Amino acid sequence: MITALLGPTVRTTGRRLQGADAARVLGGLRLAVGVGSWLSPRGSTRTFGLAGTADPPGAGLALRLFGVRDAALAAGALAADPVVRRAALRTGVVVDATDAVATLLALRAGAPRAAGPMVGVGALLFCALGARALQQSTDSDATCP
Amino acid sequence: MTDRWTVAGALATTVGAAALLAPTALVRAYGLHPSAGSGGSALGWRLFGVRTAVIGAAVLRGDPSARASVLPVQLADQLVFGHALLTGAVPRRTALAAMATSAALIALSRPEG
Repeated sequence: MITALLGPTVRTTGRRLQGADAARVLGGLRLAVGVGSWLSPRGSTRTFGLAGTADPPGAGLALRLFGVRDAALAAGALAADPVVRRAALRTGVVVDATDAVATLLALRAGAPRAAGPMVGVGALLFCALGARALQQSTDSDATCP
Repeated sequence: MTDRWTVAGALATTVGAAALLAPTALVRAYGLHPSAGSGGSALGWRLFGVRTAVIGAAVLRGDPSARASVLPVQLADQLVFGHALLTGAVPRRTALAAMATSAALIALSRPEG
């Protein structure tokens, strides 16, 4: 269903990434988001469009814990072992799709509007990139002798 | 006898699902003010929660890469909680409870031998 919904985006992303390795691009972006959130949760709050909210105790903690896990997913997407890479990419697609739903819930609960494009649309783009990387990974395995 | 990985996966999945589905209840259980789990902050907890729940489910399924990721992730979490404790970013009770949960996962995921 995710592939059907994001089909046009996946194909567009795929064309733009012609010759590039989508898994590496996704892994690099995810690593940057993860490490950035771990090192500077306040900076990530601004980047994610959440800066308008109050900063209660624990807000930075949540973003740091998120960052550690995103970096772990990035490590999987960048792994040389195709089995590990595909598992991480599949996990990433599920996670990113859920992020988009979580963003909708947060917007309904009063999160700043800027979180919609920054987190929600970002999550959908990561989801599309992950689906493309999975497709590339499957295709390359199919052509291997 | 229950396998230690089953306990680790179940613990991670439970904490993750709580953060994803009921962030306010989770932060209250760990001693934070409920406002820390509502509004925009809830999104941060949900982003953490979905990753923890999905990785926990992969640990339960026996995914070797997910199991290998538990120890480094929890060691990094200990740094986060230690920093929060030292800087007073969260109440002492919250930091210690989080460190204890993470320490349980570290003990369960330690390398054999």
